[in-house]
Amino acid sequence: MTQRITFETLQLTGFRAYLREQTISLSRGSKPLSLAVYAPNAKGKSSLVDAFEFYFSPDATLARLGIRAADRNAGRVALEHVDAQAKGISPTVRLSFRQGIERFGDSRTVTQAGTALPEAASRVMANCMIPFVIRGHQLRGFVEEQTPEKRYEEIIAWFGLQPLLTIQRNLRALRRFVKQKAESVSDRQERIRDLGRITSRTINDWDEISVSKWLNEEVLGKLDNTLTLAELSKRDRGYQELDKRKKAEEEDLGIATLQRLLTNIEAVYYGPPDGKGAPSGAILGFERAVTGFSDAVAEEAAERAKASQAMFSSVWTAANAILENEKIPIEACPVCDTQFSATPHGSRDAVQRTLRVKLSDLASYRKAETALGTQAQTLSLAHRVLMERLATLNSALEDAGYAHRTTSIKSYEDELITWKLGQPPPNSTAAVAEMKPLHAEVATEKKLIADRQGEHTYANALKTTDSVIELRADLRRIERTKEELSKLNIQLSQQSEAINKAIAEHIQKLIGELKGNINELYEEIQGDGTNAPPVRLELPGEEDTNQQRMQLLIDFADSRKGVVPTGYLSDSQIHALALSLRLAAIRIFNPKVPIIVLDDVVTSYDADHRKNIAAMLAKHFGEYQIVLATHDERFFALLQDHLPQTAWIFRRITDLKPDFGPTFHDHRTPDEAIQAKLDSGTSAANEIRQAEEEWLLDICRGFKTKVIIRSVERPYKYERSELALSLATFLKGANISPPHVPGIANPFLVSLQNGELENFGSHFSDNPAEAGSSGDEKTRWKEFTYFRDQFVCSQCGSKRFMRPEALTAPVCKKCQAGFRFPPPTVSPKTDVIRK
Amino acid sequence: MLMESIREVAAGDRPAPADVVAAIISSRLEAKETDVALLGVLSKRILTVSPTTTAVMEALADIERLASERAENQE
Repeated sequence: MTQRITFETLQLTGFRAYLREQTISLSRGSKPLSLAVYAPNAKGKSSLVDAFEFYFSPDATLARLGIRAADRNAGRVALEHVDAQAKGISPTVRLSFRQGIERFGDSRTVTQAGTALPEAASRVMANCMIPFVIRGHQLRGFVEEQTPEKRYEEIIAWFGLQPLLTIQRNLRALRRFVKQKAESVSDRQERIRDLGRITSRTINDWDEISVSKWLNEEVLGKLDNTLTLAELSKRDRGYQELDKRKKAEEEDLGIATLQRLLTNIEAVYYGPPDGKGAPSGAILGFERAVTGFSDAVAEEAAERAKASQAMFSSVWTAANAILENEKIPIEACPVCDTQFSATPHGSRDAVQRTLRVKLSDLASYRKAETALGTQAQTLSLAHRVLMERLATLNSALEDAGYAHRTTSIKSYEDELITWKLGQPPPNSTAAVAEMKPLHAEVATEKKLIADRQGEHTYANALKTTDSVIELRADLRRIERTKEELSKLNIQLSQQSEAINKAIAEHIQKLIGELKGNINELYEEIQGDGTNAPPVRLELPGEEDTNQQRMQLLIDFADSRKGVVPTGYLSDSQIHALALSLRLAAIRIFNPKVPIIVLDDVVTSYDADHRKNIAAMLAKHFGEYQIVLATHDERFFALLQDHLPQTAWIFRRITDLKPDFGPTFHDHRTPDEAIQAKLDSGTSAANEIRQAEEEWLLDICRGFKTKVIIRSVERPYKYERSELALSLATFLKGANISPPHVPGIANPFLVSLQNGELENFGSHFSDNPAEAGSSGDEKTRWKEFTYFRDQFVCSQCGSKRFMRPEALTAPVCKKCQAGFRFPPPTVSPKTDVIRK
Repeated sequence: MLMESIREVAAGDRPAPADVVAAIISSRLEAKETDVALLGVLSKRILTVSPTTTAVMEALADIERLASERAENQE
């Protein structure tokens, strides 16, 4: 069974709100952990979800940004932190995953041109069908905005049944086209137009009696009123009589002789007089055959040279068979019995390769030899045909009195008689030049004779009769074909319905699973169940020609069954339905990737529904790894109440620092980073201040010190002086004296309280505008760390404290020992001793 | 029951589209009223998991040819 894929870590650098690299762990050992992140608006919470969406986006962007800045899209440019370029930071998201014992991961960098989907992302996507990033603002689309056709398409994609969707689409298109063809009258209309032309607009629609009457009276009657056709058929006696009279007419007029002459000339050579179309005739056939034979001779000669050692064919074939069988352990060449190493080729493989080349050459030669034989036969036949046609032509020309104009043709014939295979063809230019004017002359004479006869000739009458008979046959064929097409159209409709029904049954079965899941989750969110109208996903009825639609309906009340949700459900109910649908689909279709990323999905819910969602996640998605971002502090608290602390990480973003990015409540500026800056001689004033604030906030939280509630403009961030004052006040109230930092005249807490750190100059000198030196910063940092390290449990060494409500003094969070400062025995070893 | 079905579906027990198509063709072949020649055209051009981009027009041409052949056979 395939192991499930889960996240291990998410790392962001220069991406959206995150300027400096931050790594968020999503596992403990091999156990995946879920993450809930709370932050007020615009603090970088959604940037986390953005990172997931970007990482798995085929277009390397976010749906709401698009690829380029246009209309309402900001484009990929908005993916990078605004200062990333200036700071020389490459905007990157890195995700690492675990599948069983295997770990894998990749980075994806933000670029204007976009980057290919990381290999790791492709691997994850190959294992899931449903997008697992769910954003509150996009959630309602499936319920509210999607057309039944789009919804059907999406659900079909979830099931991986796109080929069936294509079949349904193609069937639908085919039915439309076949129906159009079966009902089309264009072919018939075209033939009726031909009828109008034949009858000089006398008859404008097919009526066999009228057409027969017209033919007998207006065509045949003009020649002989006793000549009539009883039926429009070539089997009719009247027709056969007409054909006879036409032939007799031609003999009388000499047209038949001229036509035979023309046919004989064209059999030898015919060049269309207007230059349109290709010349034809036996001369051209013969000359082409000569060229083909010459090419085959050259080809055969070339291949023969390559295969000059063809006599070894059978030996080579046998040897090759031995060499190709790797089980036969031979050391010497089976052809010459020389050790492989001693042959010019040097090895068994090389000998085998050489044999293959030689055998291939032999095969090519045999092919060329066969082709040469074929060409020789073709040429011989072409020569014979030309000789026969020339003899017939010369005889016909003599009979017609043109013997004096056949000198070149006869010379050409003489040369052909002595021509041998392998020789170039005799020059036909003069013979062709003689035939062309002869052909034109005979054709002109024939036309003159025909024209002299006027309109009413048996030839014209037969031609008109043939056209009418052919037209009748065409109309009958068109009619019969239409009937057959209509029958096939009915069959196609029946088969399409049966096929669509079979596909629908298959899909309906799968939808049944989805529907049950949706209702289950929807009822959980709605609470007691009575508040949750049953949801239906329905395909169209069998009689509906468009089967590719999916109706999402609810049974709102007994009198309102199967109604569209948007007309009956409240805003939050629609939201709940959409969330249930998506989660149900993930639960069914992404079994190998149990991951869900949720961004602000509780916007429109009241307190009860938020509680229900937290409970639903706990009940149904305990085995899933969920990354959830919310700006709703009450929902965050509910999640902490409902979800197991062992499987979840709960983090608050407390600040968004322009030069760093979002900071979490447990964010710590590392001592090492500050020390490295100080060692390199660069200013670490900001970092020191940050570290002091972070520590103060932690210790105040543990000690449960009191602070003044801030104004609404700055409700989330306490200044360092406020925290220092709060801590100092608490310690004083609890009769705990803070330790003195050796070398400093005033207590450290008062120093913090006075906010002296920001200005190192004023901190150490009388001039408040003076800048702090690097030495000042180092001193201050040592003083602070010395002071900070006094807050340590004297029993177990832990640095985390708490104060239960009943106690006035804090205790160690780990061993519950009462807090007290250790005696000041350790010197901070300050370099600067101030008085 | 529902969870069992879900587990079945999740475990990937769903027939692939090619299996569904094969079953449909087979059942149509067994149906008495089926025009086998037409089903042949559909199987070749439409009832496939990888149809060509011109499958519909090719099937239409095949069906027209079939109608034409049947019309000629009546002569």
